[in-house]
Amino acid sequence: MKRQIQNVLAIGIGAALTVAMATVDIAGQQPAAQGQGQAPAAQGQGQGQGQGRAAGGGRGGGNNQGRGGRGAQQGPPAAPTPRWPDGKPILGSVPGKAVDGWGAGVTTLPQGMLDQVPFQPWARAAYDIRQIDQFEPHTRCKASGVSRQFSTPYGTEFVEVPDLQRMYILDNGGPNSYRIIYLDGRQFPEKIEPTNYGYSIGHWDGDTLVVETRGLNEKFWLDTRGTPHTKQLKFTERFTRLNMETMEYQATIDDPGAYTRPWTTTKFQLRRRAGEEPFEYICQQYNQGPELMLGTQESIDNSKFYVP
Amino acid sequence: MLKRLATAVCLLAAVAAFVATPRAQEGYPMTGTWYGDYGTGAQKKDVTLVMQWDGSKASGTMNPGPGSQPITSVTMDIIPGKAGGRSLNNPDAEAAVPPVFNVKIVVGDLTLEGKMMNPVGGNRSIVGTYTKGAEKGPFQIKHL
Repeated sequence: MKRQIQNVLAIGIGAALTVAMATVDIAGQQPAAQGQGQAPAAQGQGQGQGQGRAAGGGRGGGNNQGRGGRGAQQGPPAAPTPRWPDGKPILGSVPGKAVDGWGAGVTTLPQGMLDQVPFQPWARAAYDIRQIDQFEPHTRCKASGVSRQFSTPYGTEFVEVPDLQRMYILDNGGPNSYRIIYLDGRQFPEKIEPTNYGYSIGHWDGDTLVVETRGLNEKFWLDTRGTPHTKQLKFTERFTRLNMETMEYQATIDDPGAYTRPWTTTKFQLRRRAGEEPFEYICQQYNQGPELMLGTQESIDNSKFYVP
Repeated sequence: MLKRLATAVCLLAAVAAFVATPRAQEGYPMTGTWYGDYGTGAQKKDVTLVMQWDGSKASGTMNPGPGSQPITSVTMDIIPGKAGGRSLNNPDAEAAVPPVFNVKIVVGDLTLEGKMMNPVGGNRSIVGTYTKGAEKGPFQIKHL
């Protein structure tokens, strides 16, 4: 009997100690747990906001999150364009400050000028069909280069690496991939194997970064609405950070395979997503139109907006 | 005999796998490799067409390999479509009419004429009629 009481007491004390230790342990882990919890929380927030943005940014042409997109309320004047010690504008995050991203801002390249775009007949017909019953490769998680990067639902991040004389543009959503822009004065290789992001070389024209991309394949659309291109495309982009909050974007499309002459888009604006860290995004996992991955495209309901 | 049969089965399986996988090619619709046949019954012939686009002219080869033939001409006659206002919120409005792509491919004395189905989709195909001298019959090719 005495032995049984001792055993019960031992078990009770052991259990109490275990609970107490576990409590201490949990308490000790709390900051870490919170820290870890921020990622999924931010991710969830990103997805929720992103869907709204995608629907607006992709089809309607605006950023509806009150971040200064078209129609946003006027706030105090934006801070001036941040600059590197050598005076060049900083296009990405400011060193020592929180990481910034850029929201989606380029909707459809022919916006407001469709009738002036010098389409070849097949290219115009392809564009027209895509308005009726086609979904872009991006909805099947395919990496989509140049201007299409700036319609990616969760925006992009510009990572400048002055020591390497290059810049990376990261897609936060969609294929979650990246493009390299070489800024070291190199020339284009004689032969470039066509890829989704192509081969990009940039140079500064005053405060504007001018980027030319060649070697693009034909596996993606230039924008959400289906602006076509061929492998002959030379795509020139002009990035001008107007102030802390706004990046101006303009593109020139030189593609004798799809257009009768080069043409230049209107100016688009990307808005800063202040302090938004990029998050892990698995397109195949989060794709809200998984049937699109099959690529049969036999039955399309274009009234829905799919977030890849 | 068994070896020949096995080779034929392997070839068929490879072609079937290729055909079943839509290839992403969002540029000029004729660019790439097409596979199909023309004729009927015992007269049916397999055909493979490989085409390129230089911005003003499509060119290419029929049945690459021994006995290949250059494609004489490729023309695409596009009938423009019509925009429509139908949407989820406006279901009674007129539906959009997609453009129609009529294609004519000439290889020597063989002419393949047809309509391209789903012209900007990965599973596009051309269905129509072939003529070769006095012969005439159906033809169909699929984009690989």
